[in-house]
Amino acid sequence: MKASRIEDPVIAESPLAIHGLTVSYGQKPVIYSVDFVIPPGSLSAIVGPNGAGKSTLLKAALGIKRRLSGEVLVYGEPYAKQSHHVAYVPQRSSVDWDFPATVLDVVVMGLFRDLRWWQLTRRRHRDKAMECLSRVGMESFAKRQIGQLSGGQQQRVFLARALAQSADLTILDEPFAGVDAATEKAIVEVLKALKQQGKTLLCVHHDLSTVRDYFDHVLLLNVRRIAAGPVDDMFTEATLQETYGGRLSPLQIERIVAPSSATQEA
Amino acid sequence: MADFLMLSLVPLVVAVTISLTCALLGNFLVLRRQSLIGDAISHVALPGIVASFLITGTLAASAMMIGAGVAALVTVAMIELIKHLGRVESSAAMGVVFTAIFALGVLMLEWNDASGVHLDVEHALYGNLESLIWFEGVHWSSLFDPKALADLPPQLARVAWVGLMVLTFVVVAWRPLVVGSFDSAFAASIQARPVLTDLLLVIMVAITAIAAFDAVGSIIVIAMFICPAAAARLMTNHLGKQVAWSQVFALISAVLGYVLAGYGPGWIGFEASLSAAGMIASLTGLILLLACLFGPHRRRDGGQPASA
Repeated sequence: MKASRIEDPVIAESPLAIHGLTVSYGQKPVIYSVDFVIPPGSLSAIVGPNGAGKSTLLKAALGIKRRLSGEVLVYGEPYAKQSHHVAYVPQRSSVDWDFPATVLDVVVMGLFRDLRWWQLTRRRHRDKAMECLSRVGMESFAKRQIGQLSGGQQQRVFLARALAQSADLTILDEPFAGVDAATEKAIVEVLKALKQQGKTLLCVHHDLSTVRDYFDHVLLLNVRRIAAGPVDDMFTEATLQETYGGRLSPLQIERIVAPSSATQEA
Repeated sequence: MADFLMLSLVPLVVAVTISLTCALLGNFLVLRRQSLIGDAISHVALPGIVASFLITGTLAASAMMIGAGVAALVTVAMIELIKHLGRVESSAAMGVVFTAIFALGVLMLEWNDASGVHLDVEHALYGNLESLIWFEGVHWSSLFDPKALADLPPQLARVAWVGLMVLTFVVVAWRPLVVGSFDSAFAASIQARPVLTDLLLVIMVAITAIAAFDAVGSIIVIAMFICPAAAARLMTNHLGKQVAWSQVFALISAVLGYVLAGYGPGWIGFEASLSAAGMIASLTGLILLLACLFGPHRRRDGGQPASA
């Protein structure tokens, strides 16, 4: 552990520690004074209804959106200094997949920092990108134009780009949105493998029924932080009802909160 | 042949240089769905130039350029302001800003007698390519005669420098430009400075539009920012090849357009010649139409997505 300005060892070791983060559009706060400290080596989910500010929280933490107030520390130091520790996978729908690029071109973008910004990519960069593609089962698509892929394949390409960044913390915005079951399974396996290697992962996740199966930590968010901590302690009927404003039916809750009974569909 | 040197060489080189430069930048504008920014900046050059004439009383190139530059800055600022305050799409913001400012420029031109001094709306629109005469270009040896070369119209050197600068920018900033164009949120997260590259791109567009305005008018600029790159996108799914195609299309449009405008009417028995700028712009539009009809990659899904 290198020297840090932060005294608190929990924060100094956390891949992402957010304190008092507030972001607003005009007068209305989108997220208000959120605190969230991710333990190293965890696989965390951010859960909440539409408009709860989940994506905004990520973008503000990464300095993509301006924050009104708050502090974001990566291993105890500001993000701007530590961004090489972090890989970010935006929502798949946020980019134009008609862009004239091949699958390999996109994954090579993950190696951006390995080169000076005016340098051209070399064979070893392409080899590294190919290796990342094979980790998500997409190596045979390397030369395809990205618009020719299915949604699930596009998401895997995005994941491969994040792998190429060799980051300690990978942040994914709805990685399972609109993907097929096979891709969901493949992505979960990659995420769990990364966790095995001691990496930290944070996902915005909207499928409540899989939270218990996939994640060990959770942040329940609805503009404010409702609850945060280990899934077993914090992912309860009470916190869910508070997060979703009592809109979940008892039956839904029962299915979601029930201790992981391997109900995962293939 | 001496005719060619004196009358055609400079306009042709200027038209080709401007076309290549605009088409190069156009690739990124088209991919970012920002094509209209070229349109906007070329239009507001007119009010900028009129305002600078009213203030300084001269039509010196430097004063005109500064006026056009200030107008471009004001326009970009107003577009950003309207986009954020009105929460509208950027193309909507561009649309209202540049038409209003251009209209203001037309009024300013009429209110004052500026119209008498070789500054009029037609000139602004399709320029005056044919007036770039090289009086000392009497013989091929003039190409090596310093005295004759000094007499070259100043627009030539201006567009050449701008073209060189834009080329350098695109080559040097290629990777940040591409990453930022494809996925600006990701680019921001890896600190590839998408906001900065975006700004630099707009500045390059502004400088090109202004340098071209004086030499060839805004019609060529507007057409060249959009058509060659859009047509090139339909030819390939590879960005490098797209850029190459855009350059080929720009070159064909400029050379063929100039020749057709100058000699085309003669071939079918008319005395007069046509506006070279108009012909070049029309040709590039025609190329886009052909690419839309026959381009190999006009179907955006590009084929059957394989099942996962």
